[in-house]
Amino acid sequence: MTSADFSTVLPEIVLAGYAMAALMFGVYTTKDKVAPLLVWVTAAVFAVVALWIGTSGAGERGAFGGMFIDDPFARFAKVTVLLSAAAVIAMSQDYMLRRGLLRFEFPILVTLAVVGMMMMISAGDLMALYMGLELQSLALYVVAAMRRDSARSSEAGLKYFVLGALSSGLLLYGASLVYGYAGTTLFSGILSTVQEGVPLGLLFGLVFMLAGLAFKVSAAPFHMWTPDVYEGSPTPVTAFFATAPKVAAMALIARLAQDAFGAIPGQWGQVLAALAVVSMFLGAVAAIGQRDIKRLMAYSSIAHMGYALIGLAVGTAQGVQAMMIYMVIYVTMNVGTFAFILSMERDGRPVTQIGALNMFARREPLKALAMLVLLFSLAGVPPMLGFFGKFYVLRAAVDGGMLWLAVAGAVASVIGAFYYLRIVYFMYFGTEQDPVESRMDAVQWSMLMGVAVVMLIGIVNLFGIEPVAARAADALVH
Amino acid sequence: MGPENHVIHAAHEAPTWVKLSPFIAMLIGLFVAWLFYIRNPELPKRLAAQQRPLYLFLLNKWYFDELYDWVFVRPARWLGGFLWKRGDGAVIDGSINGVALGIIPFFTRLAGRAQSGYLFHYAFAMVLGIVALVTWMTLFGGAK
Repeated sequence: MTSADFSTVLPEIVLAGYAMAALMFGVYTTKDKVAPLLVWVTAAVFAVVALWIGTSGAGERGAFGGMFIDDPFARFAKVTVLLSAAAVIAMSQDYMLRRGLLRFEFPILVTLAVVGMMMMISAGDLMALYMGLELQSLALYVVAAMRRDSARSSEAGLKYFVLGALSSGLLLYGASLVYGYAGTTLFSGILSTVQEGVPLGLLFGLVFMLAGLAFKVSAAPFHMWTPDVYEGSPTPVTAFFATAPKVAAMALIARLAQDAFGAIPGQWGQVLAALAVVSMFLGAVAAIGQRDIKRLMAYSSIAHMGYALIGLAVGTAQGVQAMMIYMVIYVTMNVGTFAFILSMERDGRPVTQIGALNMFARREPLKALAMLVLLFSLAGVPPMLGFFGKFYVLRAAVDGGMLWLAVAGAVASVIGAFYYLRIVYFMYFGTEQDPVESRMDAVQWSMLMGVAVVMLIGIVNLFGIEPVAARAADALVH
Repeated sequence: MGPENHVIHAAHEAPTWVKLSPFIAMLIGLFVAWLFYIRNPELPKRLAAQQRPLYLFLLNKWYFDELYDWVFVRPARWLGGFLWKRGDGAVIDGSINGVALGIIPFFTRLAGRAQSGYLFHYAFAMVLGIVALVTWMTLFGGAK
């Protein structure tokens, strides 16, 4: 417990301290009336901490005897998490305020979830992993059920909580098996055990832990909560679920696989490849039947997690780099898409039916065009950035000798393109019925348009994230 | 061309009757043409009536077109038609359309039915998933 340890975890301490201070401020002032202010301040704090972490220099530092790792990989993932969380809560403010949902606890819970995610990303020990994971999950269970007077929101929160508890149980069981065979909870200690040989029990522990984490990234067959929770939760919460926690959980899987089990990539590679294939196909096939855009986005995120898992399953530094680039692109696309979904309403009530988008292009050509770009990008149509995300992971799979996985990914993306393009078809050629209005505040509008523009001009050099992601991946994969 | 090859030179050493035979054939042809078309124009008509099968055989160029039609053209057309109607139409379009309009919607409905909304179904799916993964790793995981 030296001052060096505390200076390493200073960003997390600052955020946690900020959450406590904001809670006190909210409770002792005017509660929900200060909520808009708290949202802006929280978004600004996220952005500042992201900038701080992003410019905090190179190198790899451990803290608390290796339980906490601060390396380029962690910094990359943390900056992604913080910026996406800031974007999501900033664009949610108007929606929640107008529908009387804006409780002052919301930004605070999001902050606590983000602290948990940062802890997950930096975990160097099974206990730190679990602590971060639970801090994140507990905050998320609460925000899922935030609309207490709505039965669907409560149901979503409860389902997420019960299934999340089951997944935590799986994870803990796996962690105890691993501890039993390795004799230590430190990732570095597990790695040295694994290097000497893999007892079956340790392998069981690995599978159980990966299953618990697959639940967090909603990889099939641990995905079943996703559509119901996405649909039932208030849309801003859905937008948050679809972005930052996915990045954090993906980073945690990468960290666990490489740092603790890096000596046996063939073992966890099989598990992750199986999860990836099932997720991609299930996400693509099941999304076709959806009539609700939030459920559709849930299946879309299941499929996208499948692609990101391809990068991890390969087990090379190139694969990790591809996964990180994929996650950044995925999060950016989702921020833009949810900015639009947040704005969908009719007579002041939120609308989520896809059918309501019929002939949307005639009324709002600019927004329809932005959505067209985003949906093409989600589908992975070549000129947009989404294609490059898929290209990176598929290339990593081919270079890593997993050609069959790349072929499966390509086939699944063809199937998946259907439901994205169907929305475009509705917007431009549908038959008009019960039209939807799109009321946006400046933040949502700039998110939608900004992301659409990013999807187009990002193809020039990906805004320079490629070398950064490469450095991050090299720091993780030894 | 190899030094042992003398085909150009050997071509000059044909017997004299070979060299003369085209000229003789020309003379025979000239005589028959004069006989048939100038001396006695009725003769070819009678000859054709008398040797009708031979006449028809020659008139139809030894039935070469028909032979080619049977041996090459029709099988090729049949094969092309088969590949178009059965191969392209039924197999390729059919399989793609079948997958796109038959199999995938089937799985979509299946996935929709699995998404029942019941917690125990969801938990059961997770348990099935972990059972499958653990079984797989036990059998093929390569534990030592």
